[in-house]
Amino acid sequence: MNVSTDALGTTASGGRVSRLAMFQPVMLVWVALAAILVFLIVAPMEELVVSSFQHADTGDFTLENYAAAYSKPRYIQALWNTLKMGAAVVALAIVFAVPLAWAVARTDMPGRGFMRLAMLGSFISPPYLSAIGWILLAGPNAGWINKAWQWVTGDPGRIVNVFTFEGLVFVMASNVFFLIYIFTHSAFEMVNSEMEDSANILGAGPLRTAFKVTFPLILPAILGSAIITFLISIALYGVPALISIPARYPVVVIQLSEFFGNTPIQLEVAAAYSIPLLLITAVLLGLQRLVLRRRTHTTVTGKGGERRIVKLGAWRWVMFAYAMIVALLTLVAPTFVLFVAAFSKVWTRGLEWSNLTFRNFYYIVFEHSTSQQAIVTSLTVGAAAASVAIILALGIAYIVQRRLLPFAGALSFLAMAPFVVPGIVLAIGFFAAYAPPPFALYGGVSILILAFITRFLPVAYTASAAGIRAIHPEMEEAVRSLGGGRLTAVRHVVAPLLKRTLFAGWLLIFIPAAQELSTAIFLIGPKTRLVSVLVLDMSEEGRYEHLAALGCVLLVILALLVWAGFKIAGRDFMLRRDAS
Amino acid sequence: MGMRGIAAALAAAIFGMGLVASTGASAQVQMSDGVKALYEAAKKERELTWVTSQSNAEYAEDVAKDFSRLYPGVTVNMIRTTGQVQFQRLTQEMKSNTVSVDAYSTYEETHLVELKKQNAILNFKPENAAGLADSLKQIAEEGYWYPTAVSPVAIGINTKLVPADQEPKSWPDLYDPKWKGQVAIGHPGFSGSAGVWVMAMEKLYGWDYMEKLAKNEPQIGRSIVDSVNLILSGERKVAMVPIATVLESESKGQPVKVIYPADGTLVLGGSSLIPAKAPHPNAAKLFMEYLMSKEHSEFTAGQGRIPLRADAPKPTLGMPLSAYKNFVLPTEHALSNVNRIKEKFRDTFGI
Repeated sequence: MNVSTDALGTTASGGRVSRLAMFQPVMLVWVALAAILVFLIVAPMEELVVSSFQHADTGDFTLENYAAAYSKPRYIQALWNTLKMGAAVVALAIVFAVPLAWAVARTDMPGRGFMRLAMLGSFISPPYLSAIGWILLAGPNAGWINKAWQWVTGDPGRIVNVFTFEGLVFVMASNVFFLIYIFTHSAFEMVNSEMEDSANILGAGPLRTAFKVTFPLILPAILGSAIITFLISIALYGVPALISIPARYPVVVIQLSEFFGNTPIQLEVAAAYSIPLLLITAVLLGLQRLVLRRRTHTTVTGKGGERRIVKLGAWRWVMFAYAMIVALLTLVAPTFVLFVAAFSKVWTRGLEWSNLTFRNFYYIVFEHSTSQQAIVTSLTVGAAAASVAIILALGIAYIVQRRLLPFAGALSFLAMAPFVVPGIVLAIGFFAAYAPPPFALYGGVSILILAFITRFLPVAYTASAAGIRAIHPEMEEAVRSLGGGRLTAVRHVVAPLLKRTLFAGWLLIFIPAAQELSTAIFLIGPKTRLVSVLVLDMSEEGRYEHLAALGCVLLVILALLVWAGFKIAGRDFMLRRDAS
Repeated sequence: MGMRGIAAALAAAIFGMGLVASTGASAQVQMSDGVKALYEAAKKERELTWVTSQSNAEYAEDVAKDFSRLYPGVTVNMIRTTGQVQFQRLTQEMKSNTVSVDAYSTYEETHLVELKKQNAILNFKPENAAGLADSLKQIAEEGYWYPTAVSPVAIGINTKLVPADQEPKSWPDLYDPKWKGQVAIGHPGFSGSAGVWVMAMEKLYGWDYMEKLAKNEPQIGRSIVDSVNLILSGERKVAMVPIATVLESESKGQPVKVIYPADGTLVLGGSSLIPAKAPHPNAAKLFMEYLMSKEHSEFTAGQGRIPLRADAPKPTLGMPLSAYKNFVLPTEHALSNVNRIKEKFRDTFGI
């Protein structure tokens, strides 16, 4: 998600509150927040690491789990495959995202409004739905593209096959590239035109300027977001489950589900197997913070300047064509296919009047009780997780920004820490910590909500911190000098001023949480239904028409909510990374 | 017709359909005293959760509806998933002491034995078990689990894509190079039925069978129902399939057909049980009685599936088991080999 970790490094200069003015309740708040964070973050991660060294039955210290997790060449191959896939996904995502971000932010390319909309669509549409769209489009024998090819040319061969390494990488990249787009887009918007002008004056053409001046300035943003994209793609579950099994390209998440699926569950081995993923993530994020820190320095100088649109001339149509192809491949085509399948009696028959039906929607919305429950649960879990995460993050951000308490930095560190934990690893940690007694949370929605809160806390924290930084403490001081307490100030001054920022942050969590799969897949109980898991179950049975209808219902609901978000929080709520 | 007119028509249509769907209720059923007592107790529990991997979701939902039709006031929350996943979830629930499953139906014998070993099965002897066909009674483990489904596994083909003279005749035809890139099978790591099939093929032809099959690059689905969809859509031409789903599609006019292999159709016996800590034990017992009842056998036969009772009518689709060569894989063989072949399959097929 669009999180900038630089929110961590900077703190507001104002808000000096004397230590004497502090009173006990605030201290208690700190303790309470710290306890919550320990529960949400420290305990599951500790449990993950500890159980990786524990004997499954006796609980004694052992290295056996590691031995078992890396005992087969196939297991190691899956690790290696994952890294290879992640790197390829990032490379392709950069090819998709960077030219688009530049064209939309800095050029007179036509259709920029449409591209903004397409990026929003990319954000709403979950990866597993797009993967299914591509299975229908590019299945080796029955896929529409191959059928169209055979029909047009009479050649019985095939031209595309989604069940390959290339197919896997393509579908992954088309689902994660918008993150690079968002980061790069905002970096482009911060680059000062004066520098580009200097290059122009010295005789460089627009393209030369772009490559020699503009791109080096935004390179840190690209690298930073590329690392995040890498991490997200290696931890994604849905796309590999749908594509890499038929493609016979084993990856870490599939291997983890194998350990989880064995009789009995090899939780300890799964924990051991997920440790490298955690280490890679930690190292790369450390790297990313270094890179972003550099970026902050460069763009601060650029902030004051004016940004001018680059006139592309005839090239703008080339750029336009490129943008349309990217939008078509990554969003429009798979979504369109999904909608067609949802309205089809039999998806393979494609667009035909006699094939049109509303039956699938009727079935999903009125008859199939499981889907109804799943839609309600997904939305509720998403809303609950988003609300709690925002409230929690607001509390932490307030304490950190106003320097109300010593060791507030520890809170902000913890709030950002889940960022280094891939969703699927987080799920294993949560399972290890809270499925067994005394908590025994497994089987209900509570464990899902808690895991989602943790998963999206960094997003909430970044949004809240940015919001609070924008509010001058004077206003709260006014309340305080009139005798109001800290809480009164927060309730009547800070919260109302932050309403829009908080709502934007809420949506940024709600949307991914309502369609989350990678964390949910290991935490879902037989009675809890989520749309994401149900979609995967239906795909197992090949019920693509029903599945497509369910997916479309979810997409429409989310799109309506985002539209409401536009109305309430303003057009740019997704792209705005600092509310200052 | 204006916008409002359309909306009204739509509302009427939806309402109308709802009415049709809800008027099928109030049926009568002959109940023995034992079943009647169970029904009374079940009504107090109101519902049960049935987790099954024995059929596709549509059929299981129909079964659930038929049950509630016969026993109004007791609803079934049906969950259809794969054998592996349902076991995983039940064991997780047992570990965390939050069992939500009341009736558990699977084809995985290993799971049944494992659950029995863990004392996780409620001891119950359904009276209707007496009416089961003799051959099926052997599948039952008295007091623990009882057969509630049989599923013959054969070869399915897409009749539009496979000319009559090219049709496969026996299992080894699946690795005929002419089907390269055109075969679909299930993954034993996800589907218990696929596991039994892999073991059966190994027993008949040695692991060599799988090595040769791997050269044909079969599409490997997570469930064996998926294979049927693959031949239905024309994504693949021939597949290892549960015959029930194919017969059903064929009866709807889809271009698919069952080939009963000359070397024998593999028959899987599926059983059901009640977990020891089931939250609605009486509703679960009533449901078990129902699954082995005359009414359910009639329902099954009417749906074109193989009924379990000796006194049941012939199925409306396909043939009775006596009409073609078939075999079962002995439980002991399945138990002692399943984990080995899962690993071996993964090594051979690379996933």
